[in-house]
Amino acid sequence: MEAVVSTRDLWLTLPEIVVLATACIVLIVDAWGKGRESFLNILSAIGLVLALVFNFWMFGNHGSAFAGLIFRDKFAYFSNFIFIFCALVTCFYARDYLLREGRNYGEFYGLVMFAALSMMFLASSANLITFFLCLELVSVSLYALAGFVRERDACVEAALKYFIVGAFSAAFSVVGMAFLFYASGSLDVANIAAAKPSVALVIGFVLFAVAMFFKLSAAPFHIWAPDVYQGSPSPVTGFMMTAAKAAIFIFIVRFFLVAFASNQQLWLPVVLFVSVVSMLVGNFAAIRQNDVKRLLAYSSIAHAGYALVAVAAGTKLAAAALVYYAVAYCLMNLGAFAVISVLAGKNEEYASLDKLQGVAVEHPVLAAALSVFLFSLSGMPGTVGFMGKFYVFAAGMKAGLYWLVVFALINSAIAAYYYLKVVYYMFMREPKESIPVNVGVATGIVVLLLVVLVIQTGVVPGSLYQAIVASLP
Amino acid sequence: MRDLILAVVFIPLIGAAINGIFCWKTRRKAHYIAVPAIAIPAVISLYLLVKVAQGYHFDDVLYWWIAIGDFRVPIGFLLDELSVVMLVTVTFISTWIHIYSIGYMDHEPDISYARYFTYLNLFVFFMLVLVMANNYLLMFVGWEGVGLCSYLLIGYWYEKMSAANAGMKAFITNRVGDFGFTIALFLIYKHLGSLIFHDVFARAHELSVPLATLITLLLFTGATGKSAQIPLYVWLPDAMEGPTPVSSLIHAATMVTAGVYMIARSHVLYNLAPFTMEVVAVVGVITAWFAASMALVNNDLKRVLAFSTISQLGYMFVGVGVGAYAAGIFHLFTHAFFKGLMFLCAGSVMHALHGELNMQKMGGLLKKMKITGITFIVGALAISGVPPFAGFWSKDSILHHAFVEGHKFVWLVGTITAGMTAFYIFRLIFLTFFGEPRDKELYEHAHENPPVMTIPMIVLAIGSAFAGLFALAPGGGFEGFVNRIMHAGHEAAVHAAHGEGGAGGLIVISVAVALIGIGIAYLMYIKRTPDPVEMAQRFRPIYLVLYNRYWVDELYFAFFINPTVGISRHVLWKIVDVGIIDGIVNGVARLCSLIGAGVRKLQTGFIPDYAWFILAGIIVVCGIKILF
Repeated sequence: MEAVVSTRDLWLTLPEIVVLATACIVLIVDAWGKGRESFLNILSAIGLVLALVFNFWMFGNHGSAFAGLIFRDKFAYFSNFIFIFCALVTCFYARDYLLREGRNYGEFYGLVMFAALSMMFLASSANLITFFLCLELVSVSLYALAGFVRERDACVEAALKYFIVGAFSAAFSVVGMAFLFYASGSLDVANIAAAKPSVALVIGFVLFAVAMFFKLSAAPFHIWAPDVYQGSPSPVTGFMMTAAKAAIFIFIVRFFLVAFASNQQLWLPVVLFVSVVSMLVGNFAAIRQNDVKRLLAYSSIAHAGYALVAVAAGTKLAAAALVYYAVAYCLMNLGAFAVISVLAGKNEEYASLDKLQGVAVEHPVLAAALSVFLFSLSGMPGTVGFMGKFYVFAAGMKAGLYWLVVFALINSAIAAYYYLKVVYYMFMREPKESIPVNVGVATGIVVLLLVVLVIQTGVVPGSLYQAIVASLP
Repeated sequence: MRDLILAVVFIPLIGAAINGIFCWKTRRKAHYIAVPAIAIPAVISLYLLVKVAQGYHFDDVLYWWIAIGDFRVPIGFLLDELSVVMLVTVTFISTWIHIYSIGYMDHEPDISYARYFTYLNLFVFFMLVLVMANNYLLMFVGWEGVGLCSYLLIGYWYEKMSAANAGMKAFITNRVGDFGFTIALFLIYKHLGSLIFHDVFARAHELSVPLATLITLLLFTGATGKSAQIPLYVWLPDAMEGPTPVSSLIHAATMVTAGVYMIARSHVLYNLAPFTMEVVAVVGVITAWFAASMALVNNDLKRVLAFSTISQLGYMFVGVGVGAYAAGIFHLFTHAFFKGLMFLCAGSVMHALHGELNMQKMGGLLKKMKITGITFIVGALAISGVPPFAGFWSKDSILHHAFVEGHKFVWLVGTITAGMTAFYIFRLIFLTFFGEPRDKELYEHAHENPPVMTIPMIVLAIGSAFAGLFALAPGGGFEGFVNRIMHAGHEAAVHAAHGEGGAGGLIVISVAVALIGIGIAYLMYIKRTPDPVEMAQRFRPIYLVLYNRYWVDELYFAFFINPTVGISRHVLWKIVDVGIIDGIVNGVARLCSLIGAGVRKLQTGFIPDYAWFILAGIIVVCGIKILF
């Protein structure tokens, strides 16, 4: 095993290096001078766009790097796009939010970029140690971000809960990894995949899967999610709900769907169970929510359930569908939280349905934008959410999971109720009180961009799907 | 060319998007966006018409919306003789209606004004999608799209209860028809494996006759909804609640013509199903007669025109039903002019009289409103079938085809209806524009409208007068042009028909019938001999039946709506919804919130308890793994 880091390794991780450098520059600039804070988002955006460019440039199958710890294939670069994009969007519009809350510090941008950086490595990890390190790096960054507005009790509470549960889940994944190591004598994904089935392997598998379910906030490992997603600052919630989950989905594709494709039976019952329970718990709990962020938190539990349909299907088609779903999920949730970050007002006091009712009268465009994202989340045709569900359910049908798909369809119908309820409150109810809304330019641009992407990808879904199929490992 | 076709379809959408998103910016200037957004496609489509006349065709899939395995959903457009004719009609008529709307809607508040033009553009966009689609699914998208927009436009003054209800009625009635349409699509896809017209028609001969009959009947069900035929015509008279230019748009060029177009487009399938053809022709002619009879006694200016639309659509269905698809489309084309015109004129009268629609209160308006009056009379002559006005050529062609194809009954009813048409439309003219004003105050305030409204009327009046002359164009005229794509099945019959010597006699009969209708109207409403009031008294039972529109609405209420509402309210709502669904939902939600509340308590301090839950979850998951 070669310990020296070669130039080639660094070369292959150029996008990651750019992200890292941008994060450092932002931190330094922030430390240096007064008055520069207000441009931090533009600085971050420039760096991240540069990273996107490099990522595009490097796109291709390059084999493993860093002594087999990471694997640089098209899939890795493709998923990099997702993470960089999420970070870019979040950094760019978060400024408006942070200025309003009086917390516009460079650390925010730095932490988002560090998290994105670790996700990028996570998505290309070929070894469980790399995976674990990256997962923890992501988590630590997100803990800090969750509590970023530290004057707010809800934020601090969210951060603390997230931290404790995160520690818990980390323990399980470590134990799971230990079993896998015991069963296969290696932490290398390829070697584990080649190991003979044994009791230890199964235990390791299940525990490791549980750690994934934690991060996906899939029931019954979801109890942290509503509190954390509700309490965290909206841009942070948007980021951790999308990018962090996408990273896990990408790894699931790599680990469970590709490397262990032949051992699908090992985890199938567990995945089916978790999928069904997630849809049930997520949707039924969301119906009665009054707080929009909490509602979306429960809906994200249900969405984890839908996505797990693809995991259960386990085919190549399902892998493509899962990635598509992850992308769709990122676009619509990022958008939804961008709008909420504005509508919620100072201290996020207006995030409940009661307060939001009739908001369309004063802010028709914001309300319409949020409606687009909600329609997409509910799977309305013509939006990216519909295509995501379509591909996932089609993959499920092809794999013969008829009852699961029917169950998921029924759940989608139930879910439409609470998404449309928000739209109903915004448009059909008389406004109660005026919400002090101040839409920043950055937020406006981001929301418009995401609305366009959600609709455009829904109307012309082919190219994204082709790109995903072409980059699958 | 591809770009031009895309431009035609999508420019109205862009117009709608601009006005929709920036309605608070465009406000009163909305028409600066909306009118070019429809006028430019109109110009382009004229160019496309020339190209198609020179033999250009376009049929291509732009991209696959969904392509997964062998299930593929195409987005593609088709440009041929049939669709280009529709394209020109839709864009041309719509352009003038857009312009007219500028004047008509001038009392609207700013934002509503922009909203109105947004809907109008969107409506045309969906209509163009419907017309240009090269497959049934995309056609269905347009089909549903115009349904949605008609709902929005009919219910445009949604503060008014009757308008909101009328919008809903149109929407729900159309759902019934769409149900048939969708099932037809499923059957086509199941048996032919594609929804692209090209593939479907190429393989249509594989269908057995009963199956083809079933599919075409189901498609026709969809058409009866959209094109307001028996039994689903009831939404159309109520749709008059919308602004009058909207009525003009819906009834002249767009929406209601969709059913006729769809059948003409599917002529390959219909040729396989003689029984369906028979049904279409008979339903068409009965609808024509039935609607005309209701128009005889109605006193509402717009409703008479609404019944007249239903009646004229019936003629179009007679045309396609007897296999003379081109004649049906020709009537669609001429009808678009004169019906569009008459609605605009009605709107003009209404605008001048502050919303008054009761003809019994009008009279003598010709003196005050010269342009409106004269253009309206041109439209009336056209619909009555007086040569050389537009309606004569197309209606006569339909009746002629019906006669020579052996549908003598259809021809007879159609001819009688033509007389009724001439009567009711001139009754309307005489009551509105001639005689003594019956409401002095209304009359005093009446005034001619500004040029922005009268010019569209004049243009359409010219069209109503001369559009029929296309029948004489070289190369078989209008019908010969459309017939270029009609498949052989009926071509022979069409040619045979043209050669027949009895045609002259038929023309004389239909012209005579029209003149008799006008004459009776003149006697009754100008000369007052016999006096219409007296007539109504003498034939009171018939009058009441007609006046109350055969109580069809009441019947529908008694048989369909009230039971449905009753079941919904007492069973579905109170028992199923409140009892079962809410029970489950509330129960589960309560359970969830109980668990949530419990968990919340644990979370406030007792992290070990929190951990227990997670541990329990892991045990359950492991248990499941062991069990299965």
